[in-house]
Order: sequence, then C-alpha cells, then structure tokens
Amino acid sequence: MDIVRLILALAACEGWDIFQLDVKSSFLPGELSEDVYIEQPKGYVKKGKEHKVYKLHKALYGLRQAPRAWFSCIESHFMKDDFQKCRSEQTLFIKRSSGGNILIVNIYVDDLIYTGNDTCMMIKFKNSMMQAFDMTNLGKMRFFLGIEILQKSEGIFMF
Amino acid sequence: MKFGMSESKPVKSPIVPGIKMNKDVDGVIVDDTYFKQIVGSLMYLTTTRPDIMFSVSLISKYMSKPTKLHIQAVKRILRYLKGTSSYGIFYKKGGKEELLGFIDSDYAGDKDNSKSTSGYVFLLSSGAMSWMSKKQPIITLSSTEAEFVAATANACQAMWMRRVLRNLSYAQDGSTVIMCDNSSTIKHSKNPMMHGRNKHIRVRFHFLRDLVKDGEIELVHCGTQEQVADVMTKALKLEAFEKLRKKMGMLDLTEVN
Repeated sequence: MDIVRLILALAACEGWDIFQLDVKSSFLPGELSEDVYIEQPKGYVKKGKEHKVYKLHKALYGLRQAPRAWFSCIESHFMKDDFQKCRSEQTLFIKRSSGGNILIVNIYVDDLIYTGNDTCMMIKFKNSMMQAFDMTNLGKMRFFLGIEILQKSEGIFMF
Repeated sequence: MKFGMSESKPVKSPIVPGIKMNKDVDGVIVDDTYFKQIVGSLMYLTTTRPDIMFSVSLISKYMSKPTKLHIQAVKRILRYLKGTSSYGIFYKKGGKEELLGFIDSDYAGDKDNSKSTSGYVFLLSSGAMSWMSKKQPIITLSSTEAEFVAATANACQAMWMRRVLRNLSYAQDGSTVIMCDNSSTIKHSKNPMMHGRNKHIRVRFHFLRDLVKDGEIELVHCGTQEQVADVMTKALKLEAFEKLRKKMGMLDLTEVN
C-alpha cells in the first residue's frame, strides 16, 4: 500500500491525473509453466473415458499456480511494450519516451492504476491494454482496494 | 458500522490521553471473536488513517485474551471514527517533493515486558505517505537505544522510498531529513563514538551511521511540539493530537470540496 500512496502523493504534487483499469478475468489468460491435470468436472465427463483426466493449457481460478501465471503474463506484456520494471518494487512499471515524458503503472493483482505527464502515452497504453486483455476501463481512479479517492484541481484526497 | 456501535456518542480522540495498557490478567474475559473482527477491520483502516495507527497497534497486542478493559479501548476507537468518518489525507498539488521523515519512540512503554514502541511518519506532497507504529522486537536499556532502533526501521523505509523515487526520476537531491527529538541519538549518528552502553545494538548503530556518512539520510533535531511521529507512539492530549493530525495532511471531506 505504501507504493499506492507514493504514486498518489507524486501525482498530486505534479497535478497529474490517475486512471484505473480492471481486468475482468485475470487468472484465465495466464500460461502455465508446468503440467497440471484436473479430474473431469461434473457435466464435462466424457462417456466411456471416465477414468481419464484433463490436462490444462491455461490457468484456472483456485489453482495454486494461477496468480504466478497471471503476473508472468502481464509482466511479459509490459516488457514487450518497452516498460522498465522498478528494481525495488516488483509491481511498479515505468515507461519513458524521448523528451522526458514518463508513464507510471502499478498493478495490484487485477487492479491497475497508471499516471504520467503525457496524455498521449496514457491513451496509447490504455488502448493497447484493452486490446491485449479483457479489461474494463474505469476512467479516473475513484475506488481502489476499498479506498476512495477524489482528484481535485488542488490535489488528491484519499479516505 | 456492523459492530453495533451506530448509536454511540462520537469522541474527539481515539484513545484516552496518557493511558497505559496492560494484559489485565484479572479482568473479565470477553468474546475474542468479536474483538478480533473489530481489530481486523481497524487494521485495514490504518492504510488511510495514520491517526488511529497507534491505538490500533496498541490494542492488537491483546488479541489472545481480550478483557473488558481492551474492548473499552476498541470501542473508543470506533466512537472516534464515528465522528471522523469522512477524514482522509490530502496530497497538495505543488507540495514538497522532498521526503521528510519523523521518528519517535516510547521507551519501555509496554508494561508487561518493558519493550519500547517505534513510530515513524513520512511526509510527501504535504501529506503523510508512510507510517508505522510497532512494538520493538528487542529490549533496550535506554531511551537513546530505543530511539536508535526506531531510527533504523525508519532508515530502511527511507532507503526504499528514495530508491523508488529515483527510479521514477524523482531522485532526492540531498539526504533525506529525519526529524528526531532525541539529541543523543543524533550525536551518535554523526560521531563514531562507541561505549559499553550501546554494544548490543552495534549492528543498527553501524547501519545508521553508514547511511548518514553516505549522505542518504540526515538526523535533525526538532522540538517535541513539531514531532509528528509522537502520534505513533503516545496517547496524546486532544490539542496536541489535533495539531499533529493536521500536520499529516488530514482533513475532513467538507474542507476539500
């Protein structure tokens, strides 16, 4: 949570807007790095092959490997998109462009906030994320992990 | 509020000024599930409410055998929250980009095992950004030592934030200033003087001194009046409490709109 407050304080100081995206089914697109088998769930039992099991191609909710698979998935997406990962904070990604423009992204499981000094970069980022993942655009950050946020012209209020 | 407190009368501070808690071994035992539920909810609230951090961390020490005394303290926090439910932190546009730290300790504040409490607050953009109130893991022999343990915990956090800010192209120009009201601790942080009295906190001592030498942090003296971290270690009087709460950038929602 310290990192969220740090971003809030920084964005307030600079007068930047913070936006928020929400992933609809975060744990599903993750690729598994190991073999996982499941029993045939009810309603999906193949007649005559009841003794067989399914091998998973992708992650499922409730799977021990699911959170890890999801994070690797989104992390590799950021890396492809020329983001730098902050070395002292695993969930913080930074993208710089020529002319000193910066885009800051913080991800908390399936909640994602981003801010920066370049509107163009932010719109491009939003579109690319919406395309790559099943995302809901929540617009300006308002509720995050049970915290309410008000973005005003004079600063940011958190309560 | 789900804990049956919606009819209660609000109070202005989360804790009775000057109160010292203990295990209360002879007290009337209360339902610990109810107690734990409230404390759990309050802990989550401390992510946005530094003003109740100290009182919540104080009562969370008595999770295993809560008595009437402890539940009273918990109910006082709930009553305080009732009157201040729309309070939050306001980070100002154009506020200070420099981190400013405050540390404080309460020497041997825990009456059951004589451990001390560390507390710190960091301000960024005129609002509290990071804070802690915690019983120290080791027993110390003087208030200077207790302050040293607090300063070390604070320095670790300061280093992490400096690194993150540097990564975000907000490298802090000078060393991060940390306000401390114990002049003896400040002297120790600058002067490589070592004597028998602080041998057992040697590692922390060297760690802190190295950071000061490298220009990462700097301990600066401040009066008790200005010590924001007091709110993390003591049950303050109402006037002092309200003043420090304001210094942490805490406002009522109506003051923002």
